[in-house]
Amino acid sequence: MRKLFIPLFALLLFSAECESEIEFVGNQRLLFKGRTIDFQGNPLASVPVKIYASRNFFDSGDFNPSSNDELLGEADTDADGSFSLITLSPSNALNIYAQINTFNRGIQANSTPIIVNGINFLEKDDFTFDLNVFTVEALRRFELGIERQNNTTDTLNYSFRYKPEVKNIDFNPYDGLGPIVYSDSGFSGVLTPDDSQAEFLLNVRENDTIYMEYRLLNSGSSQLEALQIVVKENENGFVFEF
Amino acid sequence: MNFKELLVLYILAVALSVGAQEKETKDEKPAYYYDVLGKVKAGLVFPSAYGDNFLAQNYDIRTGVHLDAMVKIDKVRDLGVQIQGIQGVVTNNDNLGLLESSTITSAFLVLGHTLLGRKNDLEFNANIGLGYIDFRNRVGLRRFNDSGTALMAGAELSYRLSNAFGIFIAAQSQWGFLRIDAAESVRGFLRNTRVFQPIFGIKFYIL
Repeated sequence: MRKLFIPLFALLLFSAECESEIEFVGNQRLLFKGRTIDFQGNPLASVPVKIYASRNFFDSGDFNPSSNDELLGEADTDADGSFSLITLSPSNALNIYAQINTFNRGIQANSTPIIVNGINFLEKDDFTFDLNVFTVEALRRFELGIERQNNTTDTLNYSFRYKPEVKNIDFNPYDGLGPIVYSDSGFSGVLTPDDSQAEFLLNVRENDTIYMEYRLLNSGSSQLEALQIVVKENENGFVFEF
Repeated sequence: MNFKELLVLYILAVALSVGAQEKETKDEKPAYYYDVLGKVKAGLVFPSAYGDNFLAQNYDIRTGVHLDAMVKIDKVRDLGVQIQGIQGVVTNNDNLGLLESSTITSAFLVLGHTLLGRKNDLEFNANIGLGYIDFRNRVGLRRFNDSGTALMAGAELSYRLSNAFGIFIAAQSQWGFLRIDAAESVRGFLRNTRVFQPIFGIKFYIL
């Protein structure tokens, strides 16, 4: 019985592994094309583009590729900012997604990587997915500071929200969020009366707004306040003083 | 000298020695071309792809095997089948996707015409064929097929060492027309294959 069980178990494991793998359609190829520009509308050359097929679907803002995701193809944009990729045609992919200006090989460390999710939900014309134009936006190093000045008794509860470094574009019509989604990143913390300051370094997009909410706590009394910090040109940071 | 070249030399040496032995011992009347019922050939193919297509641009195609069997249909013509198997390894994935390698099999219905040597040991034939080409593609452990129709045209020079045995050298061009669905702008690149191939081998005459 044991002799029979081990090969059967191995076969089950193998078939489960095969099911999670991307399979391909014979006699068929796909073409993916698109264009990248910068914030001023100028074409961006040499931007790396990778197209993946996945058996899993991930929601916008929750980019979590599986190790079984298959790299269908990769190319760099040309002088006109255009890319064109011929790939095999996956037969069982639930999600086809693209990484533009990929994390590990971005054209500029100060530009946004873009995740284009749910490409398979776009209308395919002549075995071609036209991904249109992507704006690769510039990222800024921005220093956020909190400094205790006159108030020596209150505890500060704070939270920041801002657009993340990664720009998510989602074509999946079933997530109910519309075709284009920018999800927020954020963090929060506490500055006790023993703390005099806190500093944070963020990568944010030029002209984006950082939203700050804070509450000063003193003997149980509190009031929620809100603040908008605009990442302006030639400004490298902002200090919140209280 | 690599293994394949040694194999070719070995086959030629064996063929020559067998032929010589048979010639020494035979005293019967030679059976000329029109005395045979047909021919069977086995050989090695040395293919090279050319043109603006994925096989020429993205593959390193290796030495393959050739088999054919022809039956004489009149004094100068014969009809038969040809099968070839070639291994291709992807060396450049641009515009190809993540393919790793392909086993390329072709099968043809061949019409042959003997132009010279109908009464000699030296024989010259021209062949044309219509058939099928199949790419058994490999990506990791996964397999899938691309297939289509193919045409073949070639010329062959053979030397008959005995009534039943000979050697041959041939040059053949193959045109593959794969039925790959793809964007119009890349169809020509993905559908058409062009291969030129010298073939060396041994030939058996069916008396």
